[in-house]
Amino acid sequence: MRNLLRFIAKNQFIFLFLLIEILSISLVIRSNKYQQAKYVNAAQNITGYISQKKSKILQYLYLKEINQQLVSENQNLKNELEYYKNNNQFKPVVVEDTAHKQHYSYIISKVVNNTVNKQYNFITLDKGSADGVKPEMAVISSSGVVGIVESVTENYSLVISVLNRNLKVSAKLKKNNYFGSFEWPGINYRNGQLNEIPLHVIIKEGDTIVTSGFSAIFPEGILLGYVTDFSDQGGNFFKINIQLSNDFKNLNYVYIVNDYRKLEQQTLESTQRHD
Amino acid sequence: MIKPLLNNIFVFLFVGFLQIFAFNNIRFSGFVSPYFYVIFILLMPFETPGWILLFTSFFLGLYIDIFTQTLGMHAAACTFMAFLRPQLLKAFAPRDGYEPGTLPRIYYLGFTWFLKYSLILIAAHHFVLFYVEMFRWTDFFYTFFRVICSTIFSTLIIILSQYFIFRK
Repeated sequence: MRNLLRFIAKNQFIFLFLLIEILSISLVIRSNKYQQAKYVNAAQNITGYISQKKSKILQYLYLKEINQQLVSENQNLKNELEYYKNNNQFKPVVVEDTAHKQHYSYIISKVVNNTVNKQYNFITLDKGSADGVKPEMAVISSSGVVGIVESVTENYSLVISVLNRNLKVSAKLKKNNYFGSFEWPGINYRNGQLNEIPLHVIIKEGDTIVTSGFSAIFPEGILLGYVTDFSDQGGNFFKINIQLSNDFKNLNYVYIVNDYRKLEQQTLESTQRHD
Repeated sequence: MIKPLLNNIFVFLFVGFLQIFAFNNIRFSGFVSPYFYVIFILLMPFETPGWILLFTSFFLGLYIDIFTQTLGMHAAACTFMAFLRPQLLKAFAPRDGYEPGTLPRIYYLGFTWFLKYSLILIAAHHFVLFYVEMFRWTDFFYTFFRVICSTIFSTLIIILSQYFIFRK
């Protein structure tokens, strides 16, 4: 300890210089927008790279669960296919230019970093602008809503998780289409909250909550969760507690949703008058 | 004791004022700009303790930064310049050291000595300043060109000023 102090005292000029220089550079990064963006971008690239290496190793441990998820999703899709076949609604057609007819396309991506224990959780994915990911795209998994893309670098994208207190999703009751606003109260990673459902609506435990598709981010009808309990808190609205359908602790593969008609909807809506 | 201190504070404020209101408005062919205010760091007495040198330089840079909305950039450059100063003074010292009572100016140590001394320190300052401003390594040589041009220009003005305002 004494030697260390002597060492510092002897080189005090250099240490003081380093201290002030670090202070200056951090001032630069904190208060200048351009430098801040550069720094965040570089830092994201590095942490993304490290997280990817880590998850590549850990992935093997979860292979069994991922398989199960994929099998059950396959089963659902097959059932749906059979249903449409039998109802004569399924007509295989060949479309030369898919872009103008198709509403959504999906980019599969792997979660490389994920937290559930903070108030503002984020998820990192291993697809970025090089794969066509843009900010404000929706992210879903086979069992429900995951989040919204916040920013992208060339190979990674940062997603605001549903488990983030800043994120609000427009959601509705599947059985009667009453819509409200879904948010995460920040307490438990399995539970969320649905607000703004009026008191005259009849709700039962176990009712399904899905996205409403109003915000032009999430497609309509993506599963969010199930009603666990609800209470009249005074005022005009219910406070509904929800069990999330997604288990964010074992999130692995997700789909990034590309909405071809988003721009069209937003342009139309921006023309309405705000009087 | 009090008089030189007040005198120095006045020079500190004056040099920054001059930079903000006069020299910041000079732009030769769009990108060459003189940074005259570093003269304050160049002209500090030989005996200035290291920590005073570093802190004064930092606050001088911060002073310019606040008025040009580039918080931290000039501060970083000035601190780096102040860090190099003692080593450089040691390397350029005359055979029997600096005479007490003298200052690092042309009047005492001659033109060649001052040119070498100021050119290196100003180049160091501009180098840090311009690269922190760019904050990337693309366009490296373009920035380098800007550094060289501005260094020559700043040095010229600082040496000229030695014959007019900061003579003794």
